[in-house]
Amino acid sequence: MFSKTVYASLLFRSGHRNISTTACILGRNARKPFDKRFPVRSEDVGPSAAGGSKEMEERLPEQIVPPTGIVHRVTGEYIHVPEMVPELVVPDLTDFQLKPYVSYKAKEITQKELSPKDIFNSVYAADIEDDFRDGRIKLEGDKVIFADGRILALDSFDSSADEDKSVAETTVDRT
Amino acid sequence: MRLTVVACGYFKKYVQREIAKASGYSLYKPLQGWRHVRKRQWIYDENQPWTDAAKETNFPGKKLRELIEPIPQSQWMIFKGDRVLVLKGIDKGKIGIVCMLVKERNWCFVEGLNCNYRWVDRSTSNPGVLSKVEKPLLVTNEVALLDPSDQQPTQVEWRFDEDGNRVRVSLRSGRIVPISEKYLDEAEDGVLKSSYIEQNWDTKEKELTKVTYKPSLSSFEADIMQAMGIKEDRKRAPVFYY
Repeated sequence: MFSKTVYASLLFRSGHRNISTTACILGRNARKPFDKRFPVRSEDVGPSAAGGSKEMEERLPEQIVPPTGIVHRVTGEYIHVPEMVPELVVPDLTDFQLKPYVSYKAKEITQKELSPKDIFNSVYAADIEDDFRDGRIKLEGDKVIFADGRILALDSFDSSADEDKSVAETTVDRT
Repeated sequence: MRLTVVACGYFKKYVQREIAKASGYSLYKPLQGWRHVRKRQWIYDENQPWTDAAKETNFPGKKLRELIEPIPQSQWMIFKGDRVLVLKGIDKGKIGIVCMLVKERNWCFVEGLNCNYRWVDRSTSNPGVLSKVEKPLLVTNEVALLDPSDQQPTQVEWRFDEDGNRVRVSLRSGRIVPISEKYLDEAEDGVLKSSYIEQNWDTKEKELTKVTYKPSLSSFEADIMQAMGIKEDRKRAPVFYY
C-alpha cells in the first residue's frame, strides 16, 4: 500500500488543494463519545473507544436492526406494529438441486435463443408425426391433405427466411 | 460461455474497478451522480493490476515513454503454453514455452528465456541468491510460433476444420497447431479447472445440463393463471376506435 502522506505532499506541490476539512468535522465518528442522533453502536463503547469496555460492547447488539413498532408520543409506551415486521416470501426449495455458484469443472454450455421453430417443434411436432404415420395426414405432391378435408398448399409458405447458421458448439437440446 | 463471465463480465469488471480506484478519484456532480475522473493512463506490466507492485508501476508521476498500439484480438495467434522460437535478444534461436501474456502491450514471456539475472541479499558475508526473471518479448516480431510437424518457425492463420471448430493452421505445411491444455485448463480469473475441488455451493455439471423447461404456446400470464387455478369469466367491454 503506497503511503497516503507521500501522495498528499505531491498534491500540495502541484498547487491543488483537494483536501476537505469540513467533512471530517461533520462526520458521525467525529462526535464523541457517540452521535446522539443515532442509536448507540457497539463500536462507540468498545475497548478501543475512550471510556469504553468489552462488557459494554457485549451488552449491545452486533447489528442495529430497524424497529418493528412505534413509541407513543404522549404515553411513551412501545406499540408493536405487525405490518412493520418483515415478511420474507421464499419459494419451497426442497429437492432443489441448483446452487448459487457454478463449478469451474462444469463444461461451458451455449444455447441458441428460443425461436418460434423451437416452440412449434416442442408443441406440435410429435403429434404431426404420429398423424402422418397413422395416415390421418396425407402428402400428395405439393399439397398436404388433413383428415377433415382441409388442403394446405406448401408453395404458399416461404422457407428461405429461416436458415440455421449452425457452428459447432456445445448445445443443449431443448426438446 | 458461463453467464457470469460473458454477460456479467464479473472478473473484467473487478479488474477495471481496481484500476479505476488506483488511477483516479470519484467526483459527485449534482443531477449526474458519482463520476469517476481518470487522472492517468494505466500502465500494464507483468504484475496483475490489483497487486501492490502494479500500483508502484502506476505511482503518480510515472509515465510510459513509448507509444503502444495493441494488436486487435483477431491477430493474436500466441496462447499460453505454446511452443515458440525466440528471434531476438540474448536467447536468440532458442525454443521455449510461453508462460504469460500481457495483451495490452503485445508482450509474451517465455519460460526461462530472455532473463534478467540478479544477485539478491548480497552482503560481505553472504554471497546471496541468483534470481532469474523473464523479460518480455514482443509478439509481433520477437517471437515465432512453431510448426509441430517440423519444429520450425511458421506463419499461422485461423481456419475452420471439418467439424466446424476454429483452429490455427500453419501456412507452410497446413498442419493444425493445437492450443495447449495449459490455456484450456485456466479459467478467466486464473483458477485451474483440473485442480479445483468442488464444494457444496457449486452446481455440478450433471444438474447444469438438465433441461427442465418445456416450451409451450401459452403466455407468461396464462401460465400463471393455470398454475394458480385462476379462471377468467369476465368479458371485455366493447372497444371503439375512431
